[in-house]
Amino acid sequence: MDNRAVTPVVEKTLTIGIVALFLAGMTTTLFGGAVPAARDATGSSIGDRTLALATERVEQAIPPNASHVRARHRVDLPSTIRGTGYTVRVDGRLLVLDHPRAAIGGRSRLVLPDSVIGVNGSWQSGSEAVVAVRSVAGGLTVELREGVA
Amino acid sequence: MDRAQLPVSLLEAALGVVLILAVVLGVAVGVPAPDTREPQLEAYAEDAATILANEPPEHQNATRLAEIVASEQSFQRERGALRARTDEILPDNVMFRVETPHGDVGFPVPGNVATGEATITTSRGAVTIRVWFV
Amino acid sequence: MSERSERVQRRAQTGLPALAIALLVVTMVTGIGLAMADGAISGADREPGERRVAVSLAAGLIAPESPLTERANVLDASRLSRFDETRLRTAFPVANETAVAVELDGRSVAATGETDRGTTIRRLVVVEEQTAETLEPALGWQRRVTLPRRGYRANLTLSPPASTNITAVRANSRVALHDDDGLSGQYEIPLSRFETTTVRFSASGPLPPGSVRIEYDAIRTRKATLAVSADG
Repeated sequence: MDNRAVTPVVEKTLTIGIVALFLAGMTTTLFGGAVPAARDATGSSIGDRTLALATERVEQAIPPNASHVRARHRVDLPSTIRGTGYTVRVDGRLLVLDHPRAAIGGRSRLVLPDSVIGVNGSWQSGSEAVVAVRSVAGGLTVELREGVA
Repeated sequence: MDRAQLPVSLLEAALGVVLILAVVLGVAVGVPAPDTREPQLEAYAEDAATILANEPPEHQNATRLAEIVASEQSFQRERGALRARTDEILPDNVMFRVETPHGDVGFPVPGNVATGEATITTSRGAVTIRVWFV
Repeated sequence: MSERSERVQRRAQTGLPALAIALLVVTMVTGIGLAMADGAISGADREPGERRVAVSLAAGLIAPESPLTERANVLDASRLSRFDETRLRTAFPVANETAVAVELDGRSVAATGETDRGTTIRRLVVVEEQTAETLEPALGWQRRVTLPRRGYRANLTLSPPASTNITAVRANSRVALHDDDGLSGQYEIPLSRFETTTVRFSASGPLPPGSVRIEYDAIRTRKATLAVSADG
């Protein structure tokens, strides 16, 4: 009476083998495509939000109708996006978020009153971000600098 | 003795399904609700405060707000007008409470609801306006 | 002996198909999970950049330095009527990169694109209109006249008869003009924007109608809502 399809030992071995193959395949599929794509999408979303927050804080740091100003505001930015550090820098009247991954980044234009004559500086993620507004001859300057407020 | 035996694989699969669904539901449900209403409320409070702070007074003093914080008597006399004017300034779907050093005017602040606030400081004290959506 | 082997045979037979079904179920559930995660990620993206543009532009439009305002939250009616898309683009370059629309009480003021699916923020404002008004009052025996509306300043044209000297002009309780030798001609006096002004004249003789002419820009205010939308 030897008409079993397969012996228990072989069956168990096959089971282990199939499950191992399945796991390997699933892991490759997920970590090869789906998971990095999801991380990129989340990172891009967080990057947009960070840039919008930074832009808002810079605009709000400027006091209205200011004649004699010397103000410093601290800005709370996330220390990393998608596991890596990033930079926020100024390009004319634009704030630019630079990130090593291509999917994450952006530019946003600052809405500033005419009294602001210059914006410069940059922030490196991970250190304390400060907006410094100062009145100089001719108007106000805004500087993105790092350090204690 | 033919006991029906549940293959262990199906049990493991059931456990796996429960685990995966638990993680996924944590992701899908755990995202907090979006809040575009907060900055709008802050804006309404700031605007109401600015307009009230620059309004002509009913009787004397420089502005309506200066009048109402000037003294206890002027507060009692003006509180009705302040409430009416604030109600007029703010849109219909917004309720408010104005807190002054002499007392409060408006509706009670409900708990658990997003509010926006703005404060004006006068020489006689600070006036805070709190607003929320209904 | 054969019974036992039969039982073992049956168990062995149902093992592998059950495994296949189990793996299939797990794969399907994982697929569903990935789809839900994707939905959650795209649902959570609230276009923060667009919201920031709307909020910043609205704040810029009602700020004291804005081309539209007299002071914070107070829009000047004549400047508002001259405002259009070109001026919006010039004064606020952000409007060139993002489609924005500015509306006052539902009527469009200026727009640089379609913002139907964008974010909107509303600000409460007061619209102030100045209309030129002239009074040639008949001064009663009290020699005073109360201007019906508030204003920033008034132009007085004083032409008293030869026998009369106007020595002082008071606006509310403050002395605005003073000359013991007699005031005559055109003068400008400040008015209070918070309360209506009563102008009092001190004169040494009669002041018939026509001796005093007051021209001022009367202030009228109404409240309004400014809605700024951005889509991008």
